[in-house]
Amino acid sequence: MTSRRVAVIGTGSVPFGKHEDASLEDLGGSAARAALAEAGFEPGRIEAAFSSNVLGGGGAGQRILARAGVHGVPVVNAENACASGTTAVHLARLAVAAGVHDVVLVVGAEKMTGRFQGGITLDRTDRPTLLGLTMPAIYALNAQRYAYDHGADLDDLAEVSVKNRAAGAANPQAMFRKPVTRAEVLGSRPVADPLTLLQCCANADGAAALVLAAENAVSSRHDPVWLLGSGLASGSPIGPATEFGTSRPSRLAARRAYAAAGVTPDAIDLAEVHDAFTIGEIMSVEALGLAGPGKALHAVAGGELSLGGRVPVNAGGGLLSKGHPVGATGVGQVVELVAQLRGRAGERQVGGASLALAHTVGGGVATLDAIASGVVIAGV
Amino acid sequence: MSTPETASALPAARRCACCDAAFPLPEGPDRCPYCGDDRLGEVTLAETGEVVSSTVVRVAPPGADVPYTLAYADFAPGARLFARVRGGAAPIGTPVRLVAAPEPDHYIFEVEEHHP
Ligand SMILES: [Zn+2]
Repeated sequence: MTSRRVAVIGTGSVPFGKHEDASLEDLGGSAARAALAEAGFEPGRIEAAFSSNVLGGGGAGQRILARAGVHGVPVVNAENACASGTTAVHLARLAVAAGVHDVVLVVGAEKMTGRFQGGITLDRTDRPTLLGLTMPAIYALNAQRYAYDHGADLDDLAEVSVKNRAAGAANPQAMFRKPVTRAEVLGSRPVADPLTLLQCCANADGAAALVLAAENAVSSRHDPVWLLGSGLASGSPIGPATEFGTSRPSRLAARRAYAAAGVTPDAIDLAEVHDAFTIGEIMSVEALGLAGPGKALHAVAGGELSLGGRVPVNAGGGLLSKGHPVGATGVGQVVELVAQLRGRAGERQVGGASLALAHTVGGGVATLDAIASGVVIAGV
Repeated sequence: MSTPETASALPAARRCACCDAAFPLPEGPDRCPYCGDDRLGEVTLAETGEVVSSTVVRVAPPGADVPYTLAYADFAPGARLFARVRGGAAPIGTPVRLVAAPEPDHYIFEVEEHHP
């Protein structure tokens, strides 16, 4: 199949955090208008739109896009748990690459604060959920197995929070801008052993948007970042073959994205990775091939994944600093990659970055090892 | 080891002819929950299994009493079961007994040394 090059030519976002007075439509509409403004395009240039949202009910995309003046065109509403935003980016990239559309809009938005107590619960009917298997508990089970299999010290997981919160302190868009110490992380409220509160990301409101264009629609006023590849995968029922402490859906999504982009993990300069929980970053980094099996925790402790290290992971602060407005997260990661690849990431800039990766993985129904995982690879 | 009451109250189990996974009936009455196949044979699960991973949950949704211990454990032949644990911590590798319990549990894990 011949495939066209796809550029990001516009980005927009509403910083993740508490936006008590803004509706889902307000949040998404603001991000979409900002992305259009950066691209220098009127809403009439948009030929199709891909919206990601999990909790806002049916037709969220159409309701959001009405606020940005995008009417009449095809709108796809994508829901894939925490991987929803990455799913929307993936579908939008494919639509442009395949020649179906020249200019499309991606918008991810979520309104979460005030909706949940004690963590989000997306499905309350399966037996594990009824018995109290929360999202932190699922990740805690993975953490216990990871430590057992690799002889790791569970306390070292705190170093992921220390690294990402330090990075978030340098990101004006982050929800949490105060660094934390290892002692503070380990001393925070226990949630599900070994995970403590400061090892869990926060629910947030927020939105992010992208304008994608085929090469022929990119002009000299644009500063294009190219979407080189993307991949999507789904989870499997947790069963006798499940390897706790690893993420098979992330491994599958990564394999597809690397193949589509024609690159290998060692060429990646920086990555935005799904650190909803500290152990999530560790499992994801290994699934993405950015560290060998059982090596990611050592890589964090050794500074390999920090700004200035071998391959900075979550130099923007990650979900641990930025918060996690589920449907917006994956789109927001790509906004961050674009800033890095344009050399406009300020204090958190990764020097000489030319190839970057974004990754999400979403759970929620506890009978599956994940709902979906998505990976996007971008370059200049 | 077990009383006749608890033994008879344990959920009946099935084993899938396609993928060899075993599971108690509440997990999938008609079809294998792992591969969807409907060629299921009867099987008796081992009374004692081994913890694959476990955690003590200390923050839970409103209405749940904390802390509680959750685990996945493997029971021959080929069952990986999820349940609450009675009898304290159950680190990876701990032998646990499968004990019948009312809904929604259907069954729980009991740490071996706490059982007579
Ligand atoms: Zn089967």
